Amino acid sequence: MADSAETKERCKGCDREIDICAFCQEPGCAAAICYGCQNRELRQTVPQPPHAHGG
Amino acid sequence: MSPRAAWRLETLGFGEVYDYIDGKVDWMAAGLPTEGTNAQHPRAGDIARKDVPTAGLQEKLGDVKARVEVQGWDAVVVVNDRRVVLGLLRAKELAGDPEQPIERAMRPGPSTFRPYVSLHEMLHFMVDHKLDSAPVTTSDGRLVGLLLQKDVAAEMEKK
Ligand SMILES: [Zn+2]
Ligand SMILES: [Zn+2]
Repeated sequence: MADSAETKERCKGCDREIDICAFCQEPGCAAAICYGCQNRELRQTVPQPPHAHGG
Repeated sequence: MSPRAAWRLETLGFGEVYDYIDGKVDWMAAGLPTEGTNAQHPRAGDIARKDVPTAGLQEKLGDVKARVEVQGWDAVVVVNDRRVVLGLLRAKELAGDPEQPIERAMRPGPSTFRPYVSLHEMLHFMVDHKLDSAPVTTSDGRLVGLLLQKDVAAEMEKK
């Protein structure tokens, strides 16, 4: 409940609610996608990027 | 295997032979075809700019900006001493307070992409998401290079 102004996005692939687009990490991305769908579409194994929080 | 050896194997008909730092397992792990269909298509790792400037967490933003601008870059990959990607500075981040350390200025934990990813799909994504550049890394996060949308577009036009 701390991040009151945060708006959630929905993955265009699976319609799951996500914090931010996995591809561009821009809030309000029109093509927002989750990590799972991104990696499936790009056919790459799931990366574990250094966990980014805050910002 | 040297890049040249990989290239020779490909020309000898061994299909996709990839050579990038520690990345050979990535190819197999992805379950992608090792011969045939895509053999002549370049992939993200092939055209990613290996000469992309890098910076360390403790450097000052202003110093890094000055250094890369003379090289004509407006993007910097932040890495540790093992070249593991920690963050990214694009034009927007580079325009920040020059006195702050890179650690504060950078965009942490950017999405990274494997070298075997198809350029066609990357271009699609980069256009849809309005992304000019994307870091290409091995599966353990080490920098291969920076993929530029304009390079991908130019490569696709060759077809
Ligand atoms: Zn999804
Ligand atoms: Zn996006």
